Amino acid sequence: MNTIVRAFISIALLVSIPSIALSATQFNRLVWDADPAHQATIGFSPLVISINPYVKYGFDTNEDNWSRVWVTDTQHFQVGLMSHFVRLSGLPANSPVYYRVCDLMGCGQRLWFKTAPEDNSPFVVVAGGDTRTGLWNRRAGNRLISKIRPLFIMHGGDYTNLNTFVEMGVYLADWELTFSDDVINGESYKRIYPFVPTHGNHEDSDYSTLCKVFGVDYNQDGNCDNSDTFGAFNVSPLLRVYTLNSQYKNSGYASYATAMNEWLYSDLATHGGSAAWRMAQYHKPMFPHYTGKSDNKELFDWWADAFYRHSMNVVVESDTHINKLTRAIRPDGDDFVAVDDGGTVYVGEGSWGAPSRSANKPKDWTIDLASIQQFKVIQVAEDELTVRTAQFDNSASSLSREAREADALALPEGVNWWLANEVGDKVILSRTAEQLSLIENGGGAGDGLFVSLALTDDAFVAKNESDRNFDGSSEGLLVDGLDINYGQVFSLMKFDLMNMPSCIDSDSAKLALNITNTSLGSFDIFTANRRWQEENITWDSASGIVGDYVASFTPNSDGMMEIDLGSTGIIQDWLLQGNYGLVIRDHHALDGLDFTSKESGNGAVLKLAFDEQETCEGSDTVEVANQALEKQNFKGEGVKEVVLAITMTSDNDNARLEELAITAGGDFDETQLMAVELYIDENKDGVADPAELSASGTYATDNGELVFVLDSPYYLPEGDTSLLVTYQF
Amino acid sequence: MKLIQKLSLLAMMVLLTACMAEEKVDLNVKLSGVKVTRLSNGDTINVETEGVNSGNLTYTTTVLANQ
Repeated sequence: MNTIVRAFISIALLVSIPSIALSATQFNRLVWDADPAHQATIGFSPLVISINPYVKYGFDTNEDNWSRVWVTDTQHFQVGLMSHFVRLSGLPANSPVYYRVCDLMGCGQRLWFKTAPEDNSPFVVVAGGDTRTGLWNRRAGNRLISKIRPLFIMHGGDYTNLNTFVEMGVYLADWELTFSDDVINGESYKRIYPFVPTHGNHEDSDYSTLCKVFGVDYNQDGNCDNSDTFGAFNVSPLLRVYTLNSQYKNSGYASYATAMNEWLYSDLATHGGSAAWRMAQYHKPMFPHYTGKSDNKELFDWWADAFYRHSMNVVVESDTHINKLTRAIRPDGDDFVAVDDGGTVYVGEGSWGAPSRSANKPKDWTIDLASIQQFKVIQVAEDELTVRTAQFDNSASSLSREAREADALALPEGVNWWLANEVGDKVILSRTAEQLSLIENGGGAGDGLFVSLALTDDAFVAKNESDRNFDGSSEGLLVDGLDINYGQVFSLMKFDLMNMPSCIDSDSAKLALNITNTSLGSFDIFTANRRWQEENITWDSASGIVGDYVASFTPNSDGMMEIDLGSTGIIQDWLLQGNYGLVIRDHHALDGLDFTSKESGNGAVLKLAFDEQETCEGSDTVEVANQALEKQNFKGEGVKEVVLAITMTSDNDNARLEELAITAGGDFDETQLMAVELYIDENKDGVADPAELSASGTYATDNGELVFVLDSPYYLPEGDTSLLVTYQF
Repeated sequence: MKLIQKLSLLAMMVLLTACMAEEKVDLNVKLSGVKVTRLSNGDTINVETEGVNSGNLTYTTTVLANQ
């Protein structure tokens, strides 16, 4: 059943017919707010009405050994969402906890989770935010969690749009998509992941939303009130997590802000050093990377210096619905500066469903940004913390329970990782002596290589002006099925592959476009099938240039958009066969797409992760062979005779001749020659025509070597090229 | 020019021609290397040049017989 319908019916029944008992409970959730090695708060809601609800739990799957715990707290969120909470304590660290939510009608789904370790065992965390709209993407992200099997999840706030109980019901129903399916000792279980909630601006209608809906009690005072929005705890000796409320900057919450910040400064000083790593989450970014959002200077003034002084390693921000990654930075005046001796890395900014906005406001200290749907996947180990950005699609495989058990840092295959400039699909952090963060793989280190390839050529061509070249147009690049002025329009782009190795095994290739005019239409990417130049490409000259299909996309939001090219073999083909680039064409789209060219703004970028290979098929593509000479015997002074005729054969047009060396032999004294010349016999008539002269020289020594260096390299066409060497006696 | 002068010049030419001889000198040229690079990335393409040559050639020149 559709989760919206299910949630709505459930909540409606709860409100309207509370006397009918159907079954037990729904909306399972689990939060961490303190000592997660030994505590957890289980939350659930009555499906309709739940009589005498309780949780039974144990540390193996034999339910006879399980304990029963009654509800410790019940909260009402508005009129329609009742939630029961059971706080478990005294749990064994780094251990599975199996449980079922029960009531008078029976027991529900078997669930299990794992407590945090209390030693230096590594683990995986997911951190994201802004799930309030874009339900398809929200659910895709949730399903990805079930495949990743993190130890826990950090949520940066904005769960729903209007913070209504109906929306929250849908959100909680969708949350169950994060659960992983397991069969343990013959019984079906769902693995449920603890999460750590943050207050976002879309929860501003009720500052106690976090405790009413999720049951957090950050200050452990047993009360659910407006203060239950900030706190900190050690997940293990490896990580201390800070959750802050950026919405306390709002009018009327100054006293809360003061209390929170005094607590923060004190906690950082007294407990900040109790874990190897420190991470913070809050909703509003200090410096949103989107021009439509103002800087939150207040937050910068509150926290930036304290973070730096107390070695906050990673900060996760939300709200903007974009993706960003910064360098290690420290506050400097009213801004940050990048540092190479230790700082804080800021990531964000919340696009776990909520439609991506333009990622159009990078700072000097930004590594990269993008308008994509994502959350962060963070591997925490004693000496290294690795941050990746997962995009939501169905490409990822599911990590099994056994795989997670065998490797606490394992990640599923096939995740569509975002490739960031300089660092590729992950940023690896180490710590300085002061415990600040250092980025270890800036510049593209890591398991493989990463490059961000810039454009060499880009232009669009238009059917209605078929002989016009649009290179450098102020309109940028256009693609349209039927533009009112230009008729059908398509764009071409070519990337700089110079100094790339010829033989690569590419892990992924992603095309980043800066969309300036969105479309709900579908657009196709093809390879171009022959050489072209931006300065003279026209509709007419581009006839038949569309090659093989590569990928499709729908540019439904402004800003940087990344398109997975999937068929990464095209890069290898470009390297060996010819760098012809891509064509972007409409797929019967009547609503056109605009994006910036390299002349009109941020040009397209091709992000490529790859490994270099020693050899590859088709890498030796030029052969040379003798041609028979018309004459072998020469006579007379001053005559010019062909003494060497050769054929160079290239199986593509991706090669150029730069130098050719000959060595003389025999009794003849070549130093007496008047001239030695190299001709490219274009018309293949075997005659050294003056117009075909390419280089000339003389021998310095008898039986010596002469190297012809071509003034300008000769582009070898596909097929045969004839070359002649003449002696003038 | 008087007849005697013409005959004298002719005699000298005949004598000179009689003293000239043709000489054949062998030569050959082999391709010892080419530098071919990929347009796409600037990488050098390995091209095998072994065995590419002119074969045996001769150049015939004229020299004085007493030389």
